Amino acid sequence: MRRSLLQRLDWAALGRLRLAARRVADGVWVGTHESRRRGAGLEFAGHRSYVPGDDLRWLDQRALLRHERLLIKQFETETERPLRLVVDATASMGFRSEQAPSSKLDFAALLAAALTRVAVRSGDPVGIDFLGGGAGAEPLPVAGGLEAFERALVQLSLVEPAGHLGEQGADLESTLNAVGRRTIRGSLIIVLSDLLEFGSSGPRLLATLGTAGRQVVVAQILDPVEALFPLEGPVRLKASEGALEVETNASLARAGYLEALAELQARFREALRIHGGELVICRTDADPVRAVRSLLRAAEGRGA
Amino acid sequence: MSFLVAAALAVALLVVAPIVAHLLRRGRTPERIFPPAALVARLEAHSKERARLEDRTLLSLRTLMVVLLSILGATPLVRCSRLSVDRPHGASIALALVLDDSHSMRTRVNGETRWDLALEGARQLLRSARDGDAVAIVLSGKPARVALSPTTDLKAARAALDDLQQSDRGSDLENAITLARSAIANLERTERKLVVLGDLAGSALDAPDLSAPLENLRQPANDCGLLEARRQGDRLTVTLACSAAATGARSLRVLGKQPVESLFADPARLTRLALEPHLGSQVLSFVLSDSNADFELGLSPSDANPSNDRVRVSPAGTELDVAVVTDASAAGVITGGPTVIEQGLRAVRPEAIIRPLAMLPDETRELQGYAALVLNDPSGLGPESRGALGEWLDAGGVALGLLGPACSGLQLSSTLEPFAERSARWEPGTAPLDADPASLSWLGPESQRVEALTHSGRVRLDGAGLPGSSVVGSWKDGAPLLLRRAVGAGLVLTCGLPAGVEQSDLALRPLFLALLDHLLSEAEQRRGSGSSWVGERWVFPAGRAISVEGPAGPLRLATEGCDAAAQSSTACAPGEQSATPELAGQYVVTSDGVAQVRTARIDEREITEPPGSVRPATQESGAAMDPGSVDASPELALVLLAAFAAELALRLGGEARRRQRAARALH
Repeated sequence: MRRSLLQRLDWAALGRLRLAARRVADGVWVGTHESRRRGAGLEFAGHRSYVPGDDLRWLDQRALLRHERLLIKQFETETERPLRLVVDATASMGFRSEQAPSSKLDFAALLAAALTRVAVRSGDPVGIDFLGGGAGAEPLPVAGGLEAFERALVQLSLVEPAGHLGEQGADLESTLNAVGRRTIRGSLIIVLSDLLEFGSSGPRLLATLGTAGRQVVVAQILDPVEALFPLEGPVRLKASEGALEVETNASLARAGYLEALAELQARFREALRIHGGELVICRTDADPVRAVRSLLRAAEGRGA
Repeated sequence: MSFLVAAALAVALLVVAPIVAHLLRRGRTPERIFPPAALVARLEAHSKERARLEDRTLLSLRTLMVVLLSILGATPLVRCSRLSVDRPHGASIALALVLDDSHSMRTRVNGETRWDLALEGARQLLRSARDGDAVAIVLSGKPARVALSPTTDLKAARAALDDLQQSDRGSDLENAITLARSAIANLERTERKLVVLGDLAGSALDAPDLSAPLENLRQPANDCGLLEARRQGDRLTVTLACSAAATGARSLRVLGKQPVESLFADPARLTRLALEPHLGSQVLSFVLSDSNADFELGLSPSDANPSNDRVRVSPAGTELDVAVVTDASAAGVITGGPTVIEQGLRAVRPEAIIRPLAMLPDETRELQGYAALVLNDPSGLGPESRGALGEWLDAGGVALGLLGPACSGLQLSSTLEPFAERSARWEPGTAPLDADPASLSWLGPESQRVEALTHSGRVRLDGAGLPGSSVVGSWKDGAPLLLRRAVGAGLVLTCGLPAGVEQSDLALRPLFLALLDHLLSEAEQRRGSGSSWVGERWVFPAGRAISVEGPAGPLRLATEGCDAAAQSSTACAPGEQSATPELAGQYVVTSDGVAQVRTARIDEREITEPPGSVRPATQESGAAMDPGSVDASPELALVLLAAFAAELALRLGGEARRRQRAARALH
């Protein structure tokens, strides 16, 4: 339904996401991360030891004469920091319980739009990749400016929850590898997913994104029912991806479920930390502003 | 059953719907999408068990609702079996309920007493009464009495029913029916219905204007009961009676902790006793080793009427002592032996102790031990004798004076008081004289053969009655034959014929025995053993401080001329006092501080008489009953409404609990 409306240029529907994204982004604080890199610039920022391959123009000759050591002068300079968003749009992200204001995909889309807005206002380019999502989930190349924000909004509005990672076999690995290849050094990768279908190789694959000078932050988007499992009595649970059905007594199974979920999160957190990555848990009934702030703090290495 | 009824009842088949739904639901637990289902442990057995437990109440309620709906659909075509008043013309009716409160109604039928069933029947009938109907309630326990005069206040009628108590009285059904019939006879109602709710013991109703529903009250019962345990010195006489349907041997046992050996001279006789029940009464005699012991006897095993399976042995000193003052030559018989008076007394009260006296005692204390005195043909009473007799009478003695020729020759200081004035005189004659049977009818059927009662003369009692005397029997010519006068707590009967067979035929007629029986009954009530039937009124003199403590607590005293409200106030000038024992057992009567034990006993016919019958024509006359014509729709609708409410509450409660748990888990 949403997709067909957008195909008919339903600007009103698009406007809602835009407004929401702006509101969230404004709340977060525009330009929270100044993309600072050391290298060529105007303001001296210190020395470091010379390594072969360094530009000899920045060799401090006075220091060489005085201390007989090869030191390279460093200057602080502002540079762009590309942001790549990986949005999980598999079928499980379409789940929305009675207690949640939106589906997980809608919440992820809102966070992605808000992050895009924050990045664009900071002058950073933004690209978006999707996991699953069917035909409407076209990856968005890295680009900057307000146009990039508008394109991101349209793309995030068009995407529908569809497919699952298991159906495509090595789809998760190939997608994440492609993301890694497309993402240059110094980029920030934010993965928005429920992490429920990543399997045993998921933590390793996500952590790999954090190599080669990239930083990865994973946001696990969970519905409140998934996070707390407040169900009661006998119930037959059906996974949205695959044919898995579990008949259980929710009251009795609650403790075991929460334990298993915590274990899953611990595995991801452990794997990400090896390469400086972070795992942030976001509930769809939580304030999106706080969720975005948590993600940005995690990206700055200040913890979620 | 019509098509409509069948169709409505067929709806009940839908009762399987909730059961099927329940089974389906039990088999299929609720489904829901849950992406992280892989992280949840399978617990199928637990979930199914939980489903069964949760749904059971709802299932029962829903099943009940379907059944109620179908019955409600069938009503008023389907009617429940409850007593109700049939009113074919639809107009207001006059309804007289005759409730049997006699002892036999204590018999149990399927765990409930006949009395309870009769009372419930009466309540059902009252429930079907409408505004404008007049209701009267008559109790058929002896003597029959009106418990509620005809009234249109149905609330008062229900209250009167609630106030009724079961009693151990005998049965007086015929008089009760007469009372009930007369109670509603003059009411302005086109239809009058007379309903008897009782076992009809010993009766066969065939009057067309009455009906007797509650067939189950008239089932024969296996019942043996102890009527009396009378002590006479060291002898104990136990009377028991059994119904025709009684089966199984009974044994007697001492109730309480007292050992049999300490009470009976031959305890083995009591313990080995096995009484085979047979219709009627049996009298057993035992010798007591302790003639003063206070104990109870019980009959075992228990039967349909356990209330009569125990009896308290009468205390020592309650024998009925009768003094007979007569000249043996005047009242003797030609064959010798005791006088006719003694023989007559033995015939009516074998257990009474009869003591012939040569002359009337001059001192009161010599008379104290006697309950009754028979004085035959006295030749006048001296001042001392009169004084002693007066005091004795005042204390409750009962005396019968049989005046004869000797009264004509009174000495100067002698009179006939307290029997008659000096003016009473013997009137000799040869013509046979008849007494008036109608005037003596209160003595029962024995009063019918009273013609040619004397050939030699009579005592003229015209104008010889002392103040307070009343004529309770007379000759055909109107002259008094029998006078009655109350003296204090006692009673004086004066007969104008002597017992001597040479002067009159009185002692040879059944009337004489009836007179002696009446004398002894009065004596028993006033002074003697105090043994009387339940329901017989005990009369006490005015002005005495009387209290009666019975098996169920203090007995209410009625004072002549004072209604119940006035009795407690000083405004009422008390007259004769009376109390009526409703229960069998021993009563302690205290009169001016002097205690006396009286026994109220059950009429043996309450056990031996089989339940009565109703002629089919009477039963079907429809005079009152249509036992299966009550529309139960309102009650059914109420129950259905309650079931709906309960179902809704259960569902809402369950939902609220689920939400609460979910909210707690979320926060």
